[in-house]
Amino acid sequence: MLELLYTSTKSVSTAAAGALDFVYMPSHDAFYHLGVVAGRLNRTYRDGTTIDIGEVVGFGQTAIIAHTRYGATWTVSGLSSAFELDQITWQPDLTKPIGPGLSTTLLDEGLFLPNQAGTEKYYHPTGANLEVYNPTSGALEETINTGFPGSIDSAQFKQDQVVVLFDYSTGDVMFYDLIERSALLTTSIEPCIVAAFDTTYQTVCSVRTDFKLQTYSDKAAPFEFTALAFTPGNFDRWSTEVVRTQLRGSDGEPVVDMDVQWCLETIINANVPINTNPVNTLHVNAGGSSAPAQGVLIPEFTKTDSQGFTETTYCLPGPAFTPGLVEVISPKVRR
Amino acid sequence: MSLLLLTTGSPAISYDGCPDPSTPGQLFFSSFCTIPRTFQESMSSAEGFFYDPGTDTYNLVARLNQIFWPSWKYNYYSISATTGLQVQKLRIEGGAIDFSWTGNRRAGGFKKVYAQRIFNPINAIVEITPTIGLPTASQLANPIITDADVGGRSLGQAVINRDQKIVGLVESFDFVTIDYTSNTVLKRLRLPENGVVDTAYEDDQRCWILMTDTSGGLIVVKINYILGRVELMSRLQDSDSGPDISASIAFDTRRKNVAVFRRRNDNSDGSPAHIVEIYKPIALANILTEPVPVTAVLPNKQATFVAHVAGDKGEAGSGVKVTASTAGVGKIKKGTSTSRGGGSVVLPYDAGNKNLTDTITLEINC
Repeated sequence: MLELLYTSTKSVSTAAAGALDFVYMPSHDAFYHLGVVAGRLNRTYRDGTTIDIGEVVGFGQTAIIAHTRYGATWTVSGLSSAFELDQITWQPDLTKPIGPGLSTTLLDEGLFLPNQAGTEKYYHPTGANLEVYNPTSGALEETINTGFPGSIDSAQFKQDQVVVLFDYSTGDVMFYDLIERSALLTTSIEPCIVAAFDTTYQTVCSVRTDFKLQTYSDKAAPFEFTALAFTPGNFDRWSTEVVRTQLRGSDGEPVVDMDVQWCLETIINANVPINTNPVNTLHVNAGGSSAPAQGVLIPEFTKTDSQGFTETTYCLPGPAFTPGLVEVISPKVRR
Repeated sequence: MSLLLLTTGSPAISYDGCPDPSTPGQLFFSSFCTIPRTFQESMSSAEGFFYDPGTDTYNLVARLNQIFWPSWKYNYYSISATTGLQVQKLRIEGGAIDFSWTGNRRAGGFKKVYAQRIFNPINAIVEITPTIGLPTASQLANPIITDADVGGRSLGQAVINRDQKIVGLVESFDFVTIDYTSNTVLKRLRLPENGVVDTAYEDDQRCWILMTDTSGGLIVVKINYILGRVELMSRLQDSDSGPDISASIAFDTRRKNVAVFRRRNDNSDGSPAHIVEIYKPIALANILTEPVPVTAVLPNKQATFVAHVAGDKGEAGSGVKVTASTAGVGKIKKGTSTSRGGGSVVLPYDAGNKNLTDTITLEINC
């Protein structure tokens, strides 16, 4: 699960949950919010403050939102076209149309993004797939199977070629690289009504089912370390072992860029010979009293890499080590 | 909250008192001179409120009901651009019919004043002589724009740029910028509300649009009609002395002020209650959101909290000083921050080296 940073104390009411659109607007670092009151457009902030800013009229129809592209946001009117929103009133700017070949049903919850060749494409979520359309002709050119665990409700721009995929009802979230065609992170948030990705601070903001707003980091919250792996694994005296582990979130996803403190403890009377595999849980082993460590961990502080892995070096004790003691290595997240 | 209110002229204009009851010709509206009412006239409509750069006054053309024949008349008021109070009142003695054919007087390009002619010629924009309030014969013979020039659109809220031969018109939800030499739509901007009340020319790029807000009160939007872009949206302060019957907007091109004339019901003694409010076009903010972390709060790491300053129409409160303090051992690195363009206040926070519970308090530093 992504790291929860904040849950608002205020809640936003909504007239019709099904009509609720929620899009990040970088110009005001706030969220375009449709459906708090039927037919009205609100500006909502992360703490749940919501301000009525005008009517929503898309040529007599309720507007639908397509998501961000280079920080610009597009709205869809009753016509088969999307328009960039004015940065102050957040009404469609009719001088800036895009996607004239796309029908309004397609324009719901997708996003515009150039492909590797710099040609503008429209990505529309269907099930676990992203359909790639030519926005001018409306032709379906490709279908990308993302491997998303649920059904994609919304595809939104994150940064560069990375998009965020949401399944609101299950809370499934995926960061997907459209050029590499690979999932960068498959994670989750609490089930919600609607969610939007904030491109300024790279956070996820969701309207939970109780209408409270939640802000999540774009990194997974630490949940557990995998079993410690030792290389070469001989545990000879005077030798060193490389100790490696992966920090994971509750969905088994890697937790990156997290400070880890390595703790080493010696347990007396544990009745375990020195040259066996040290205990590798997050918790100090029970049974016996602790004593000053005789081996050394270098370095004591490390950081998880882009795949959540981190490692240190364990220098085993020399001949002075008392038989019958065991050394316990415990990685801990600094928080 | 609203634009920055400089002054309110209240009442903005005066009525003539009742004559001696023996004065002949008091044929209409006998209630006007029946105690407690003591004024012989009452405004029935405001038909043009604009700034005249020549006299440096706001001018108001109003139609009034009166006790004398023919029961109605037009008055032409000059209102001080600094106090919002009447400096001169001119009764239109002749040409009242011509006045009724000339409406929606407004300032425009070339520092001239224009009006919509509804008859002779029909549906045309003509230049008028500001001190008289009417077009001369030669101005009537040469209308600036006719509705045929703009495809039959309504000319009622026209913003006129003579230099580039462009007119801005209200069309339902849209403000449409049109080249009136070729009837070409140059820009089309959707407005936040449907109820446009009035428009005011600022210069050859910008104008102000006064609208009723469905959720109450009046809002004002400043747009650049050449670029097709909104530059400011705010609410006008709600009146504390009763609802408006109608409202009009004018822009003082010398002082860069916005003035709003609010027509009100007369007081119980028949005296006028209409007011002119003069605003600086600066949006004031009155909403401060709670600080929300946008990065994880970890020991020995700098976290970032974000709060926002906004007005109650969602206008961004930029350049507002916000003072932050903490109750616990954590530290806000900058005690006072100034909000950015979008109204956001970014607060770097240092949690120290241990887990903690902390409270951050923010206040707007006026």
